[in-house]
Amino acid sequence: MVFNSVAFIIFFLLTFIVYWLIGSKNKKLQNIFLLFASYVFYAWWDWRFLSLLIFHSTFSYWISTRISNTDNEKSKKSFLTFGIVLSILILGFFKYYNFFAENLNQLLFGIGFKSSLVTLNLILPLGISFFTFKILSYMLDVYRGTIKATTDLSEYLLFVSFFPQLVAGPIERATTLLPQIEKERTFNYNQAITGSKLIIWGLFKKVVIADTCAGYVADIFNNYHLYTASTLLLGTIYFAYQVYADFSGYSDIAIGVGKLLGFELMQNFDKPFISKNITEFWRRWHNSLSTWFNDYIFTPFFTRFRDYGNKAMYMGIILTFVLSGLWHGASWHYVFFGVLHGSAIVVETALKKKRKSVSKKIKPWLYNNLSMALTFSFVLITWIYFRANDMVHATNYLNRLFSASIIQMPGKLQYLPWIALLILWEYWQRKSEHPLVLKGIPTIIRWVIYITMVFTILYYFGQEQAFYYFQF
Amino acid sequence: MNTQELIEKLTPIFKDVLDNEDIVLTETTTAADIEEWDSLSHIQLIVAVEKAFKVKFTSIEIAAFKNVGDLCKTITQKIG
Amino acid sequence: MKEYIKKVTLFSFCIIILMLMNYFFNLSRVNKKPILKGTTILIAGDSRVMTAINPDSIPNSRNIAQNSESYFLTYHKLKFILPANPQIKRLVIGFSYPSFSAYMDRLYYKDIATTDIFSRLYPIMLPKDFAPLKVDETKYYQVYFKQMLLLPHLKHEQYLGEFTKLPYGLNKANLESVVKRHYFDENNKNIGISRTTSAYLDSIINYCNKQNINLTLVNIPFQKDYLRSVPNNYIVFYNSKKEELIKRGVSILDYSQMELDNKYFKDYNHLDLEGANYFTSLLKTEFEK
Repeated sequence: MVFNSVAFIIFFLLTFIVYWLIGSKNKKLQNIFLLFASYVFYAWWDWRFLSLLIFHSTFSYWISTRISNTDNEKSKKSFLTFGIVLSILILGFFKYYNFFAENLNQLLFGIGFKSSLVTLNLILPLGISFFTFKILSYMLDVYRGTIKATTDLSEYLLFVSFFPQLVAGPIERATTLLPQIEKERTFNYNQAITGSKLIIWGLFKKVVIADTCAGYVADIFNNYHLYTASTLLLGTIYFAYQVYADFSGYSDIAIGVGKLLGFELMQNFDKPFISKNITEFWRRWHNSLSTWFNDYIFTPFFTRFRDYGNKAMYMGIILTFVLSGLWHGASWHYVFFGVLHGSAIVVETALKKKRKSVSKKIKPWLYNNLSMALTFSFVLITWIYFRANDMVHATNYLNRLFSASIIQMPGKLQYLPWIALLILWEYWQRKSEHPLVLKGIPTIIRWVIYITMVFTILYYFGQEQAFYYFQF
Repeated sequence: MNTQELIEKLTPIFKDVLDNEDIVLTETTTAADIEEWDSLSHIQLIVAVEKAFKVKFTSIEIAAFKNVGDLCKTITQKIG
Repeated sequence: MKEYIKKVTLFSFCIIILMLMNYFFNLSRVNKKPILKGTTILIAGDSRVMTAINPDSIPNSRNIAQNSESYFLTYHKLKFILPANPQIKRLVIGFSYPSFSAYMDRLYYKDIATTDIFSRLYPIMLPKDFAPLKVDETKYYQVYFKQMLLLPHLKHEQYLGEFTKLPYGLNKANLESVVKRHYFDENNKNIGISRTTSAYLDSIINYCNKQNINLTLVNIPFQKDYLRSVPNNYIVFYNSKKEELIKRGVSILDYSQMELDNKYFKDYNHLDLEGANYFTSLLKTEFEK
């Protein structure tokens, strides 16, 4: 069930009630109940793959226990390798088999072989990219000694399948989530109020902004040849806010739900569009994915090859972003998106000293705003490759974008006011923990705002539109 | 070499790699305290430290460095 | 925990009270019949009628046609509007091949037009009236909830369409997609004839006879390429229905085969403003006879 659906509201209401009726004194029972609820949540989407989730979780638990219990360095490594290889094979099979087969066929055909590697009609198990990465991070953390392997299977299973994070992240680490599962959770009034407000704010972003922008974006991207370049530019802006509102809205709901259950989950977004460079952008956007790739791909790679100096660093960055692009989808335009961003970071890193001296020579106000504008423009352009159906589509869109009709009045302006509202609101509340804190505003007015927001959400509550990132 | 001397030797290395003349190191300094100290520069620091002290760290040791104090301890172990 | 429950209950209570206030306000407004002052000629039907007949050119007329409107919907509209407007003496509705396609039945169930159609239906019909059609009841109650509980509306008259002025657009139109939508399903199979729709046309005719309203059925011109693409079963059914209705004394004006210049078309099955003005003048002449 998607977060913005009646089914989920009822599901969560029941979960909340039963969870707190069980009470914090019965932590073990609470955990088992949450695990059960999480599996119901997952099965609601697709019960066929519940067994895969359970199998993969249990298997990685066994691997981590073996890693933990052996003192022999060699067998530790063997178990880890086995665990990693199997996890990647599972992910790779469901997600990348067709991509691999198609490209291998083309390659072999190109050199004269007729390959009969058949492409399969595979369904992508929901959330597989997210929970596989969670599992991988746990096995690696246990191996490195960052965390001790848990001896409680139910607690580990809950860590992997915790329903707020199950289908679209954040990719939480065991170091932050497992201790909370192991400890008692007491109901906290302020935490619950914050959680409730976050859910409202997240639903607002998802239902009112994201889902409707999605329609405009689909129209503009599918019919780009009929629209002016200025409309196409607007299309990229709509897309940027669609993904932002969608993904960050979903994350907010996940965090809010977590808080209502007494958990503090990690943030995934931090005002990404004020980033002054691409390096900063990936710290503010989908932070849990960036840190995962940094801790488990880039750092090991660069550490291993550190003696080769900057060459190794640049290669590591490109490698990391190619994989990150591939993580988003089994298609060349996602890989290309990764290459573009990796290259940007390589350039930024290489020019670090130069950028610093330039920043000292220009007024900070000018330097900061120019950097933000450049960064945002780069993001808008590269996201064309992300949103398009394939490389050809993206290139055509881009070509039309850079044409004379850019000076014409854009169409489809109807949704701009909502985006402006979102931007202004986030700016107005930028110093608060979240946009609905509204400190200093009299209670009556705050309640009017909250109630208006709920009514607005209900008004735009449409069909169950699948969360854009669910396909991952 | 004691910790204080080590820190005195490390400071110019940090200043150079992180390109910041105002850095002051203590045993408890972590990456969070210095803006330029991120995952990229972390490895570059390691390389520079390895060169300067003629030591080689294992990846497990590198991952275990939580602050400058840990770094000093491991260096001391390696140079005897 | 107690404090939180209290807050949430109070918050929900405020919301429910507001919704109830909206509901009772809307309830008092939703059954108000529209009074179409000065209208003696009522024009109703689907999007073809909506874009082809300009009421400005016909004195005392009003065009309330809307897109995706089947005879089922038209019938209920008429039953709602006509009793309160006894001054309406003449009714003009559309009559052509897509009118009888079974695709008209599917509009009430998981179609892109469904939400729109329900927002027109709820003031003029009760759920029990849905009987002959497969209707997405959940969607209907969603629309009902939205219209009746979320905001107070002074007028619930989404069922009153109006004449729409469209520019020429034949060069941008796609013949294949519109033919597919009208006559074929997702597997490219012929969707077939809707007996329900045909039955509701009969109901409209009977109703007009009883109320002594002069009924005229109009088949608006198609672009000639469209005509060639209509599957045979629809042409056969249309012709036989036309014959039957003429025998029963129904007045039918069939302009479908009229070859109009391409410049009069918004797309393959709709006239543009120029076409509408030209066509309406033809109709006017017919009515004055």
